[in-house]
Amino acid sequence: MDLFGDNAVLLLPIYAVIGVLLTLIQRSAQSPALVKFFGAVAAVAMVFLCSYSAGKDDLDGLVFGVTAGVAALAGFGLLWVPNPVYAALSFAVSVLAACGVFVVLKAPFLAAATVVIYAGAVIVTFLFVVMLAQQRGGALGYDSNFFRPAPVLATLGLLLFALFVGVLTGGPAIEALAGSATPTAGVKAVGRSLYTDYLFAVELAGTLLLVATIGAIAITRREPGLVKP
Amino acid sequence: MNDALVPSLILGAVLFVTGAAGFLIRRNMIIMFLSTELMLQGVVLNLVAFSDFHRNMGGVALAVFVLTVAACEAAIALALVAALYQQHKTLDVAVATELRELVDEVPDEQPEIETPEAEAVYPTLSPAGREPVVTEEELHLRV
Repeated sequence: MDLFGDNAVLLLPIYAVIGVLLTLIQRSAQSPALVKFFGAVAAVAMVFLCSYSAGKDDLDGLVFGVTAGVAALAGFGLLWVPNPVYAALSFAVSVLAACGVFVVLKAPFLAAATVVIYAGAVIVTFLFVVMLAQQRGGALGYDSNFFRPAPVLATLGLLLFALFVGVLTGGPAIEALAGSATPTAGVKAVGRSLYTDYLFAVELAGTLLLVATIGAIAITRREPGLVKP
Repeated sequence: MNDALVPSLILGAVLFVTGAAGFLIRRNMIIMFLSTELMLQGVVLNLVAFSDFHRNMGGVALAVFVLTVAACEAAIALALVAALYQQHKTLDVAVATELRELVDEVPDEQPEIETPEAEAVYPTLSPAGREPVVTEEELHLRV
């Protein structure tokens, strides 16, 4: 049995990913130029390989390839950059690119909601906290050295490889599960599904939002007479 | 078969692993929180890919709930980060060790605890009782 079949080209991004992870181990204040060069080459290779593996002929494939590459790269940026503000912006780029993937996957409502919630609300809240907490700006000392990177990256590389093998070898089994081709209608279908099949879950989610709001206020509020613990 | 399924799953796996690595490696609390959001994004990508594959809205509906929970988590987590910053005046997660069990490794920026060196004071014993009378035979036995 052919292990990977037509999807063998998808194995190539794995090597790029592993290369990027290996460069992370080497990071220090003065990382050698060779490591930086290797990281840059791996990053560019990953973008091209993603677009090559997904972009067959049509526009959807091309958009998918480019957005997927950008999302993965910006994710690595979040892992890599020392400055928290740049990390937040890198996360925003990654989320926006993932929204492009959502559009290709015919979920425009979810893409719009993700842009509003993540790139709008979460990132802004986030930059507020950075502004309050790190007024000096730039990277501090503890940001530039990692916790035990080698064992963590080895374990997660193994996990990534297992995920890839599972996805790539599960092709026929996944194909047998394909649903009937009832046409979807975007926002209308999502709304109908949410408010008929998942009505109680929607109510529960609203309650959860309320509880989270109260909890956040209760955590951050400081009574004037309260002794600091 | 839809072509976009397998690449979507691959991208979801990459995003999830990147987020997990960021959560385990980085020391800035804010970046750790962002890494969890990246992990959620990878999972949402899987949900949407299978939703598109099955022509079924269940995956997208579940992804909307994931977004809701992520928003709640963001509110609570940022409140906790702000409270921890008020207490420790740093965002380094290695400093927040009150609830941790004791291990050997010590965070880098932890200040050394200065112990004042006091002069050694030894207790003096006051004599009590009567000094025993030692006869010559006992003295002989002791030697």
